[in-house]
Amino acid sequence: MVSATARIFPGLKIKSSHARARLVLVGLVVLLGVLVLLAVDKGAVEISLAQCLAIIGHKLGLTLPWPFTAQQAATLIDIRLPRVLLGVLVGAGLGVSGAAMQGLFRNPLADPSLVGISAGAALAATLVIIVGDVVSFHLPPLVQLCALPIAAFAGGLLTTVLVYRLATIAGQTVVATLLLAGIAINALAQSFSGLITFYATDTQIRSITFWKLGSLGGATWPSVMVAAPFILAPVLLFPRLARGLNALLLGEAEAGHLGIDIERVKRVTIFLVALTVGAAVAVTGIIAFVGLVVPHLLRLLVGPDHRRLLPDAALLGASLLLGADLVARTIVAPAELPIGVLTALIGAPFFLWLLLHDRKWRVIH
Amino acid sequence: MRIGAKELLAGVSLELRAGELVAVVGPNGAGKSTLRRVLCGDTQPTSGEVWMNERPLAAWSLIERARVRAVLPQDSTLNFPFTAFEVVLMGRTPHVRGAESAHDYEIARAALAATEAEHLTERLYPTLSGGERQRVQLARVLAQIWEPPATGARYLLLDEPTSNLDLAHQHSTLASARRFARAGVGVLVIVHDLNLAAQYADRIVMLKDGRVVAAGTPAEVLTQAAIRATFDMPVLVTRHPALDCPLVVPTPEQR
Repeated sequence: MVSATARIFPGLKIKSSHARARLVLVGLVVLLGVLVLLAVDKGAVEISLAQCLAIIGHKLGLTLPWPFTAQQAATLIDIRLPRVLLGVLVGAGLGVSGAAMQGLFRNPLADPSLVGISAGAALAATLVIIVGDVVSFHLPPLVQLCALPIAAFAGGLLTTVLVYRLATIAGQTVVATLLLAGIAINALAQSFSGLITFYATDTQIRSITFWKLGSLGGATWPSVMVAAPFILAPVLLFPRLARGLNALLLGEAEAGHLGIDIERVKRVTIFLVALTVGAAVAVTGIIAFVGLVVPHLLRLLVGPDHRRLLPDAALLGASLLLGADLVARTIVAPAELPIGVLTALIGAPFFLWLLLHDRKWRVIH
Repeated sequence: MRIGAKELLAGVSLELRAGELVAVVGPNGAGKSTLRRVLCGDTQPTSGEVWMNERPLAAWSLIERARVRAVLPQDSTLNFPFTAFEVVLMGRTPHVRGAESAHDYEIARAALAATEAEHLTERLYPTLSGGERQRVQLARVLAQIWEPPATGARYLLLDEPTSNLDLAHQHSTLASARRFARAGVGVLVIVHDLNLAAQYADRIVMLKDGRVVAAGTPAEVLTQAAIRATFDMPVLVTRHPALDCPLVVPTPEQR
C-alpha cells in the first residue's frame, strides 16, 4: 500500500510541499531536542533538568540555585553527556550515510550494515585491537585512539569500493549482486573475526563481542573527541552532494547530460560514507538498520529529494539512536541491552516488510 | 553540431543546424544510438571529432554542455518516488545555483504543458505508465534547454522518444520537437516510424551497418529502393494524401 503512504498528502500544491518540508525539519529538531533532554535526565541516577543546568553552570564557574550531589555531577559530566553526544554523532552519521548510499546505489536497500561496510570496518577495528595490544605499549594514548577510527575507515572504504565494483555493472546496480556481495562480505568478516577470536585473550574477546553487538556504553570524552571530526565533517559535507545524488537517481548517463560530474559524486560519496561509518563503528561497533530505516521514513514524509533528505536523515538518525539507547539502558536497568540488538530488533522486521510490500520501488527486481 | 566517427559508425559525417529537425532512421543495430552517444559525448569516437557551436565538444565542460544541449536516452529507470513535477524541475539542474527560482517552476510547468503531461504534475513517477513516463522525461529535457543561451544555439537529442506512446502522443511529441526546432533549436530524433520521420523531419539520415546510406529531405531519402535495401523490406512509397511528404506503405511478400 505504498501508493497511499508514498507521500503524506501528495495532492497538496507544490508551494506547500516546501512548507511541509520546513515543518518536518522543525519537527525533527524539536524531537531531537526533547530526546537529548530526556537522555540526559533519565538513567540509573536521576538528574533533573534544573540540576543539569546547575552542574554545567558549576563547571563554567556559575552558581545556580539548584542543589545537586557529587554523584549526580560525576554521572552527568563523565557518563551521560559523552554518551548523549556520541549517540547524536553516530546516529546522525549512520542516518545521513544510509541516505547517501541509497542514492549512490539508486536503491533503497543499500545500508552500510547490510552490504557489509560496517562488517569490513569492524573487522579492521578488531585487527587493530589485537595488533594494538601487542604494540600499544610504545604508543601514546591519542595515537591508539585515532588508530581505531582510521583502521575502521580504511576497512569501510575498502569494502564500500569492493561492494560498489561488484554490484555495479555498466552503470546499473544489480540488487541481487548487491545483497549477495553483502552476505559474502559479512560472512568473510565473520570468519576472520572467528579466527581472531580463536587466538584472542578473554579481554580481547570482550572487546570483539562489543564490536559485533554495538553499544554507546563505551562513550567517553576522548571517544567523542576522536569520532566528532570524522563524523561531523561528512555530515556537513553530504548536503553539498544532494543535487548530484538527485540527478544520479535519474541514471548515470542522464546525470551526466545534466552537467553533473558523476564520477566525482560517486568518489566523494563513497569516501564520506566510509569515513562516517568507519568512525561510527570504531566508537560504537556495528549498529545496524539505522541507515536503512531512517531514509525510508523520511522519503514518506518529504520525498526523495536529497536536499531535504540528507539533513533530515542526520536529525532523525540522531533521534532514533538516542531513543534506542534510552530504551536500551532503562528497560532492564541497572543492566543494559546492547543497542545493536535493539536496532536490529526494530530494523529486521522493517526490512522484511520492505521486501514484501514495497513493490512500487521495485527493490527486489 | 558536426561529427565524423568510425567502426560501429564508419565515415559518418553529420551536421545538425540550429532550427532544423533531423530524423535518424535505420534498422536495429544500425548504429543510431551509438551516433547519439557520440554526439552527446557519452562515447569517445575512435577517430573523428564532434563540434558544437564552433568548438570541439571535448573543449566543453559538462555543465557548459548541459546548458545548451539536452539528451533523452532510450529508457530511464527511476524507482524513487519523485513527483512528475520534481523530475521535470531536475531538468533545470545545470542552470540553478542553490534553490530553483519561481522562474524555474514556471518553465517546468510550461514544459509539462508542452508534452501534454500537466495532469501528471503531482503524480509519483514510479506509478506512471511507460508512455506517461516518456512524456515526463521529454518535459524534463525540454525544460533543460527551454531558454536560448546568451550565445550560440541549443541542441536536443531524442533517442526513440515515441517508443512507448500511443498514436496521438507520438504526433504531439514530434510536433513539440518541431516547435523547438522552429524556435532555433537543432533537434535530432531517432525514430523507427518512417512516416513520422517523413511528416516532421526537415532532413532524414538513413543508417545501415554504421554507415550513412542516404541523407537529405524526406522525399530524397525515403525512396522505394533505399528503404528496401536498408530495411530488407519491400515498400510502396506514394505522396501523402493530405500532407506534402512521402507516405511509406510496407508490402510484405507473404501475408
